[in-house]
Amino acid sequence: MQGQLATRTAQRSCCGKGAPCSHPQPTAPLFRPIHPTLATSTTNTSWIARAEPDSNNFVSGPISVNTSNLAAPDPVTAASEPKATRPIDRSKGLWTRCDKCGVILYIKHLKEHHHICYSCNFHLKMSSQERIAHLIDPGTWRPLDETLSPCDPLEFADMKNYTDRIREAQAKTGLQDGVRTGTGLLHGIPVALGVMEFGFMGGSMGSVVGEKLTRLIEYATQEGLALMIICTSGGARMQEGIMSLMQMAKISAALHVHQNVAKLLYISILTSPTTGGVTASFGMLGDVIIAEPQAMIGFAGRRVIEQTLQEQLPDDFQTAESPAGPWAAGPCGTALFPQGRPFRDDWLL
Amino acid sequence: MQQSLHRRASASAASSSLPVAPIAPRISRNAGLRQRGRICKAFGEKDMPGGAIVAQGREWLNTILSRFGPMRDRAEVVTTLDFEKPLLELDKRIKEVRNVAEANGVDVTSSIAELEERARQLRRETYSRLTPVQRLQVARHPNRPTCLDIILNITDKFVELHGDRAGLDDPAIVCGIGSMEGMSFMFIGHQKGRNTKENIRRNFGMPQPNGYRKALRFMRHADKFGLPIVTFVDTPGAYAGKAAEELGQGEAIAYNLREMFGLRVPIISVVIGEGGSGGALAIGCANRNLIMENSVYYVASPESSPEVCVAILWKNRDAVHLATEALRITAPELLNFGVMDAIVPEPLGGAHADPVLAFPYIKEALMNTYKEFANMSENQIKLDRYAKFRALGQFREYVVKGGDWRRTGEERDAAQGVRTAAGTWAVSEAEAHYIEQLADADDTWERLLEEHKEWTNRPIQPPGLSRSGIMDVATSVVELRRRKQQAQLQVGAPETNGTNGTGSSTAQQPADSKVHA
Repeated sequence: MQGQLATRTAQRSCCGKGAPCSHPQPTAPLFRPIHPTLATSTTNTSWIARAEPDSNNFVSGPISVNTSNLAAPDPVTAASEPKATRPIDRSKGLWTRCDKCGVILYIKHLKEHHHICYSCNFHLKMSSQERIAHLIDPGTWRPLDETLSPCDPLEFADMKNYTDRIREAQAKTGLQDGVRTGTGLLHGIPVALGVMEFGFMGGSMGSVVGEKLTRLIEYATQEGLALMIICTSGGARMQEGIMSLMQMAKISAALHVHQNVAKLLYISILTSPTTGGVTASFGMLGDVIIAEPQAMIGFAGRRVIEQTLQEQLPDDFQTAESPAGPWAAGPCGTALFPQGRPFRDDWLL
Repeated sequence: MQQSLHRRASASAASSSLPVAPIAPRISRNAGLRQRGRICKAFGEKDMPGGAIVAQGREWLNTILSRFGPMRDRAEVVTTLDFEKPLLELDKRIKEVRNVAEANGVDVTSSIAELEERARQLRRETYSRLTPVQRLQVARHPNRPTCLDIILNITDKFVELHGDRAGLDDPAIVCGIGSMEGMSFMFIGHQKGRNTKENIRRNFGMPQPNGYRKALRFMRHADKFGLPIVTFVDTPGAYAGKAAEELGQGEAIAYNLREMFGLRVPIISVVIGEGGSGGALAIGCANRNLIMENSVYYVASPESSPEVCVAILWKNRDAVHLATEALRITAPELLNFGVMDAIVPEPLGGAHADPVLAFPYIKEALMNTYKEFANMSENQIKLDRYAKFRALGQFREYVVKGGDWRRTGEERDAAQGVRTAAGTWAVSEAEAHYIEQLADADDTWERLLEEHKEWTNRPIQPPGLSRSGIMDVATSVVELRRRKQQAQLQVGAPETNGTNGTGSSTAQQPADSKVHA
């Protein structure tokens, strides 16, 4: 009886179109909720968001998304899976909090609003797949160098082996390393696009990230395409040591040929957070630098600066719009977002 | 120690017949008074306002020049590293014995000789087996020769230049034009101080954005006038401060990294102390990277930024020595990685023990390295620099799960594999299918590109460069030539090297000489 009631209200409250609707996620039914401990075997308690016990794929953070259904083990296997059997995104997490203002955000609405908090217009983190889907015209994305994989040049082991960290990050995100590169049409304009993935070891830049971005830039130079890189990173990957540092120089060298010799366009988009080696190389080299509002953009870490100066820094230090931040000093070539409207690349055309 | 260094250097310079700029003008008080008197007489009277102004001018000049002149007081604290203590004990013992022997008139030359030989042997053993932590200590030793020390002792003439043409100067970076063996070079380097007061003045060798812009401005000057650039890297890192962030520290470093690859002159970089991450790389994107034997180069300092390295990875401040060993920051390891091209030897005991002997090593290394570039054209130099950094990075082209490249490599070698329809080898059916899908995607993309060609702006390229992978060909060509050059250098035929250089450059494939990099 109660189960039937639950189903009827679920259908009615879904979208008003009548069952069956195409929305993958049903809203919560409008009957009186039953505490999980009082529930019997016949009670419909599917609406309760439970933390999975084996939630090793549960990404914690501002967007709680269970990616166990999303992530393919590696690009080769993903290619051989027929497209029809690819699972739809059924996010187990229902809500999250905004990083800046702390307001509760319902994930379904968040995704509809392009991951922008409705109260403070802060752009929450998006995965690289979501960013590509957001920007590139459907069906025109051609990925490059998906199979490039990291090694362990230093045989580094701190509390965990570097190889273990790589394996976990690869399982979590489905990528071989922390960047997706490729080409596609952006409102009909062919661009070379690189998107960094914060979920892979904090977006840290290692040899593979450097190599993929360098190949992307060389390809863009050769074909005369405009280049866009969406940067989000915690810095250089320490586990790869000096090799990570050299990637900064490598990417900058390719950018020199692309921008100064071939005189082509490079737009760099800085999302939150962008720090360390990425800020000190390709992040700040764009002909036009676009930053998301309230994004944390800096070079040295806040704690390092506080330790060096022995003084407290203001809260808005190292945010994109701060009066002393990158925007005012000039390296950010252009503006941030008007309030309330999501970013669309067609404004640049 | 530093005082005697300057004196010895100026003495040696004075003994050579070349004109020498004094390290600091010796303006003694009497000379000043005499000068003042002469000028006052020229003005007609003793206490003229003109005389007072000139005297003030002399005082002002004195205050500036005396800051970095020879040290007037001996360093009070003589730093000895803990692993050097037994060596110093032995030296002290030998000196005591010799003093006692002299006082009593006993001849102990033979036993002294044995002791000295043992001391030398011990020193040699210690310094040939330095651990990374010990090397880090040596690289940071306060008595290690700084950039100015080296420049003033290897150049015949040197003039220091200042300012970034945007309103600021940075004491942490030293730039200037000097001449070695009659050839002019542009010298740029991080400068640390010799004592605490100077260190504060020089900001411990940590440059701010204005310092990097000053360095870039002088690199552009060198590019305009064809002066080869020599950089000395000795910094704990870029300065992490509020004003530095506001002035655009990240952007200054990024700009330097990019513009250094557009310079048409050869750049040679020597790591003389510690090389700290991006702050060091901003003047270290060179055709050749040299490193002194006991210097280090790291992406994140093992100790001084615990939040970055130790606390994040080991969650323990005492794991500093673990970090130092794991990060592979010492010179031989860097040479192994290919990041550094040559190691400059140091005198026994480290450069801090005998700096005057260290300078000729550095000068010789620099001149030998420069000779490689004497016959190269501008495009070749640019391509050489690009190729050097293009080749850095360790990765695998095929899917490797969890960084386990050895096992995956063996499996791939052992597997029989399949072939795609076009004939490409793949390790499994899935990979063959993936490769075919990639080829289809490439075809689709090229069709799309044809349709939207008005949005592209293909640069003018020599014929044959339209396919991707050309950069690999160019870099491998440069690698081959560099190896051939090194082989010839080892064989030891300097004159043939020159002719072979020009000969091989004309005989190279046209793609190499015509690339407009």
